[in-house]
Amino acid sequence: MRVTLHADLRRHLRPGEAATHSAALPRGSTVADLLAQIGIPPSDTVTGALNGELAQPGDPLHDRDEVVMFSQMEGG
Amino acid sequence: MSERFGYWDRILHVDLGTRRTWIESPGDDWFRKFGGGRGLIAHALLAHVPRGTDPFDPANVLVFAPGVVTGSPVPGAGRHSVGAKSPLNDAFGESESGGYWGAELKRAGWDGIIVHGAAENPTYLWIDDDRVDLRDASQLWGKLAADVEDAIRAEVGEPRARIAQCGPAGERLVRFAAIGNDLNEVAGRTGLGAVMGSKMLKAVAVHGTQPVPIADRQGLMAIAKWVSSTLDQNHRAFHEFGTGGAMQGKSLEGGLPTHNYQLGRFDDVAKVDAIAIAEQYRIDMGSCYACSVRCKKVVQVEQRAADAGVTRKGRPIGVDPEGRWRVDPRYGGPEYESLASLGPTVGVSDLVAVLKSNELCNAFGLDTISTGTTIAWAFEAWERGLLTGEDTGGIELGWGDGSTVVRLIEMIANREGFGDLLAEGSQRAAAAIGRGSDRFLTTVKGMEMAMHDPRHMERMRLSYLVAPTGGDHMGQQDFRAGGRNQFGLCLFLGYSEQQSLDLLNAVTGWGVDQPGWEMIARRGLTLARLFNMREGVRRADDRLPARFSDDLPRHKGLPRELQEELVTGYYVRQGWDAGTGLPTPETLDELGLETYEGARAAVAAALA
Repeated sequence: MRVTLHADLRRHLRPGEAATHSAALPRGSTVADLLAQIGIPPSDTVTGALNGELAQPGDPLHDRDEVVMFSQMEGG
Repeated sequence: MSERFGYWDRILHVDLGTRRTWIESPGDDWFRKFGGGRGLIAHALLAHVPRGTDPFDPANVLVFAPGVVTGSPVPGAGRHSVGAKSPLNDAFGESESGGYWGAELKRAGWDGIIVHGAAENPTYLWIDDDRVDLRDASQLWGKLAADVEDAIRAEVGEPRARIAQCGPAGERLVRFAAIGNDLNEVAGRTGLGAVMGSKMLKAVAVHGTQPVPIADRQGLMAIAKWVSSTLDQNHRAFHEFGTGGAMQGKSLEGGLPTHNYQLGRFDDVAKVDAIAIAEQYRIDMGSCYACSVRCKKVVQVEQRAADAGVTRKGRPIGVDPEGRWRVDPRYGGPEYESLASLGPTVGVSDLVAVLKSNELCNAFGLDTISTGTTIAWAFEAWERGLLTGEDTGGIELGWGDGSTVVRLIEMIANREGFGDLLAEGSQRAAAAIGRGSDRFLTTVKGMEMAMHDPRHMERMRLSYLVAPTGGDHMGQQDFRAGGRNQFGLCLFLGYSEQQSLDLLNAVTGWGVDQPGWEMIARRGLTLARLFNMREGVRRADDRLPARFSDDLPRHKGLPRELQEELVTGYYVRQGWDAGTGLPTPETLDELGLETYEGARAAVAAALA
């Protein structure tokens, strides 16, 4: 699957890793598993899109999925 | 005199009618009690503005109010408040701004300015440390903000002078005119620019050379160092994008104000968010006073490719693909509220149009939130057939038409044609045309809501319901956020409650604890409530407009019963009467506000 991390979530990228990159997880993994692999703690408030729709932590992931992550922000 | 840190005990009064100035020293106890900001504004409005005063009457006062933290050398200390009786809500008016102006005023040795009366001719105020001059501004009247800043700096001979100004929109009494400072920072809300214009006060230019006295400089430096050394962990998103980097997430969640709050999702959001700006038109990130976060976008667009090229720092300069506009980087760039109000709320996905709209609002001195939302109201009225070409002077209105938004902004600022109606704000415009157009207003107490849908964002419900100014998103009603605003400490800095306390105490040496912080914030809120009730605000005004009882596709509407429950709970927590919201005599005693008992009793008599 392809994963994109936006804004301050990019601090979780490994050295040299692009904001949009490929990720591999065992069959049956969920969005929550992906967050754990990236290193985003469950206490962080993150909005995820799975193939363009709002993702829930328990949503199952598949090989060709597109996942985009945003941290929440207010004001300005 | 006790040793004094964080303030000077000097408030400048200026009477524009008599051209007299004087200094008020309210004393150390007063500063410890109120902390500046809203405390000074609410106190000044109750003390100096007679009940029922028209906001454009010379008897209204305009208050520039830094807090005790403003101007101290630590990130987040570049904020100041401005206040008056508002021409938008006819009640408590207040707005906050960042940048450098407030810190410069403190460094000039002043804790605030209270402007009385009105000048006979356009005037500007020049403050150079202790020296205060009223100067002729006839040649500046009608000019755009950057021209005014250049002209004043040249005239006073001080290129580092910081300037706050009302803009042509304020001169023409547009009811949501802003007071801009440093060209790209804005006390936008509640129409304070129009109050400034009504006083014929074009600008306040300030130059200061005196460091604000700090009680514990070493402690303050440790806090400043924490910000710079943990930038990646705590402030990276702000540093890279400013605000608006999470609009796609907000849209996915179904909470992005779209088409006048009818929808929560904008399919083209990725075309107009802070990520798109960073990729296409952002040339730099700017800063406020003493702040290492640098979260202020600076954008530049050239009309023609031949004028583009790269900046001095090597950043490529973007071009309007349709060759319509140049966007001047001196006016900064749009943050989230401006992006959402000039983009999805009016259905616009044309990024250059959004950037141009934002630039024009800063140049003319307009609040981007009320501007976008008032135009959105007009677009919906057109969609429903309640406005026609006869009303608009032949201009066709429609969601997504960025060129029309740009045109309407100029018409509003100049009160030209249909723009004259919109310049009154959406609530007055709806009252003027009738036809049921008030059904889709998004105002609370007459002020257009900010860009956070309360059906989606639970925290905003109370902010909109009971903030003293109306549809305000700054969490003013909350002790934590309200206190930070009052002291002049930016809400974007990721300080914990303890760090905020440590910062306040490092500046002032007061040794305030959390209950003490809350008491100071409560005093500001209680006096603002007292002023509002004196001016006729009642519980029925602490209510969301009808639109927000309807469901969004992903979020439930907010029934009246829920709103009433939230309001009652808030009154009780504040120590106000649970039914009316009038501060009780016991609460005034508890807060040490006994001297306002007369004002309270007069409201109580009016309620009886």
